[in-house]
Amino acid sequence: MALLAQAGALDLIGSRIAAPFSIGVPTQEIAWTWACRLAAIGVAVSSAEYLVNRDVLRDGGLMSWDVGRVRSRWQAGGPLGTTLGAVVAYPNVLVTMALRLVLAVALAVGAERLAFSAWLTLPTALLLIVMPLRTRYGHDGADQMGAVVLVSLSIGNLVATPLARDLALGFIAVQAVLAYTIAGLAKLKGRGWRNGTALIKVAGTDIYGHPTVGRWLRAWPRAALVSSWFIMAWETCFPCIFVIPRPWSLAYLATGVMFHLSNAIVMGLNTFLWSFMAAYPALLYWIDRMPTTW
Amino acid sequence: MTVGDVIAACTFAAWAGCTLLVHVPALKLPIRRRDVCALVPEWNFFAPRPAEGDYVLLHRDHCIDGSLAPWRELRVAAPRRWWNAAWNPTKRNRKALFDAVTELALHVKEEDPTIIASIPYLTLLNYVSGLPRSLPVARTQFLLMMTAADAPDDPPRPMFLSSAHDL
Repeated sequence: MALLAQAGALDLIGSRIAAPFSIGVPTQEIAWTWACRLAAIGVAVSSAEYLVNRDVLRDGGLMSWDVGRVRSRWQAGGPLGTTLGAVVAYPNVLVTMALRLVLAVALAVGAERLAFSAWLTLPTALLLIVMPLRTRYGHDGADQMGAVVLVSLSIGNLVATPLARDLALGFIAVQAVLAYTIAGLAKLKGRGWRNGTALIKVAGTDIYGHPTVGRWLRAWPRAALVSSWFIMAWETCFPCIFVIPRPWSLAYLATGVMFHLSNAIVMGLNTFLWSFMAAYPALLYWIDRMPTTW
Repeated sequence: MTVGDVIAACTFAAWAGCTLLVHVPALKLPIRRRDVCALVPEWNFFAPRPAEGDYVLLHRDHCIDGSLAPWRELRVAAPRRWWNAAWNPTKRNRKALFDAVTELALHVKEEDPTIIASIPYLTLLNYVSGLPRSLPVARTQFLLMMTAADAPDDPPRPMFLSSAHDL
């Protein structure tokens, strides 16, 4: 009896220790909803930014449809080009962006069931991927990850089976792993990243830098070197989140959140935060379904 | 497993495969040509060589009387502010200029004789041509320069001078 009581006490202690580690184990529904909400926030911010900064979309702007359509024959004329022009030409593109904003806000703050509706996710995804057809200039990795998440969720919603939703979440997780790992390996190839000078240069630019951080890194090149290697190691080793103990996986992903938050502050990459965070529910969902158990 | 599941699985597998293949230099261009919606992502952010400076766009008008107006620097985006961490509308302008100049640099490197009909050249020319002007002008041209991020006190280096075009 005493032994059984001891075993019971140990179980209780074990469950108390394990309890915090079970935080963040999402069901498919939770992972799906949060992937959709976070991606939608990024799309909503980006749509509102286009509406405020509409000059860039004008015919004389740097993202001009008048010039962008010349890139291919089918865009320059014909029924497809005319149809596309009705959606992306200025000023119609402002209506497109307003509609995209409304859909994204509905997905971001609306009822959970909206994330499971192809009627909402598919139009949002289509209005997202129509912009690179307008022009190839001005888009970034946040747009790409946003498209990956929303198109995948739309495919899952169209098929509407648990397996298709598992596959969609799996694909989003794979793309997040590829994003970090490829970025890390590509940086390892660059001498500037290996000796820390690339980080100093990026931080010193207007486009992706920050005056204070740029000056600080120029004054402390050793800090740039250590930061460079930390970024390269973190990105390259990202796939290990599926094999390390769960608490360490959570810490790894928390570091990712801090990484994107610092990129938003220092580099002005505000929408990267939302679109990459949108992949994290899918990562958490699949971490718990890996064969390795800790 | 339904037919829909199989189609979804094949779509995701093909998409993931293309994401890997687009990072192979020889396959990048063929995939990019077909990927009109930019659905195949390239994940080599800022690598192997990141932006090492900023592109500066200037323009100069040729007046009707034959005189030349001075070069004017064009600020395509507002200076960075602390709130850009959450709200950064003009980042698109900087990125669009960066993308156009990066593509134009490829045409320059290849000594492309049709560069003035290229999309990046037309984009920049269209932009400077559309700027509001108080006086009528005959022609305009643009100049691209680059600053060095690690030597902020050095003067910008000229990269490309366009021809003068009728307005």
